[in-house]
Amino acid sequence: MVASLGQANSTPLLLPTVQGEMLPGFGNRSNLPNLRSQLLISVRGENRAFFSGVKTATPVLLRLKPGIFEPNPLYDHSRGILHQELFGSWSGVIFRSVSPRYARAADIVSGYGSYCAGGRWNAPGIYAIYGSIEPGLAADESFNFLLQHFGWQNRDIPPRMVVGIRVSLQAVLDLTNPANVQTN
Amino acid sequence: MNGEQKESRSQALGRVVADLGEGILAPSRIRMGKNLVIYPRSLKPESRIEVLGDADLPM
Repeated sequence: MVASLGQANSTPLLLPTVQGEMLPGFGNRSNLPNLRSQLLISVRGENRAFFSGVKTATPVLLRLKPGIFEPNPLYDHSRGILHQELFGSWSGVIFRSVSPRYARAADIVSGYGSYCAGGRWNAPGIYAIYGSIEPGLAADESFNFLLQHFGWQNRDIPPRMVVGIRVSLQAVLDLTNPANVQTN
Repeated sequence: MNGEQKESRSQALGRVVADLGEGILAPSRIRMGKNLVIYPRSLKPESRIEVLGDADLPM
């Protein structure tokens, strides 16, 4: 399965607006009822199957509770200092740990779960696919998330499978390169 | 991730990268190793993501 710009797998429920201030949760209060209804539909409707590994809808619904998300001022600062020259191409295979119940190719690379729940590198409202360079790390990250973030016990862990994804990207910011990371 | 209803610093940086690029290669927070975060709505036309062995997936 191949995905590329303009060939989205499904019609987005909300288009992330990375250019400015409007993101789900970043909006003004007049938008909130509409945002809430769309987000709840996305969870309760047909797209609920995207939430692999989520025991019940409750944790997700709590995270989708609309409010005023306060944009971090680092965004404007970073926009001012990040230039295209800092981005490089990256090709290789990454690994994701997914639930067999939702192991469809389109779901694995949809980024929809992170779109709804957010993640370390994306606020809710931005589609993101998280993967690891090593298969073992993908499993560790996944189980660590389930255990720490949802408070699960070892006995709660459902079956998972590790899937490889071949990636060829043109513009990746490498934060593992010391030259790209400024320490204070 | 957003219990405080605030965008974190890393999320803000991710929003910039989603604006200007396609992904972030970042060190793992839990142990040695690297993670790649891809913003699929920011992919350039020549970029590709392909699930390997999708014919063998259970669904």
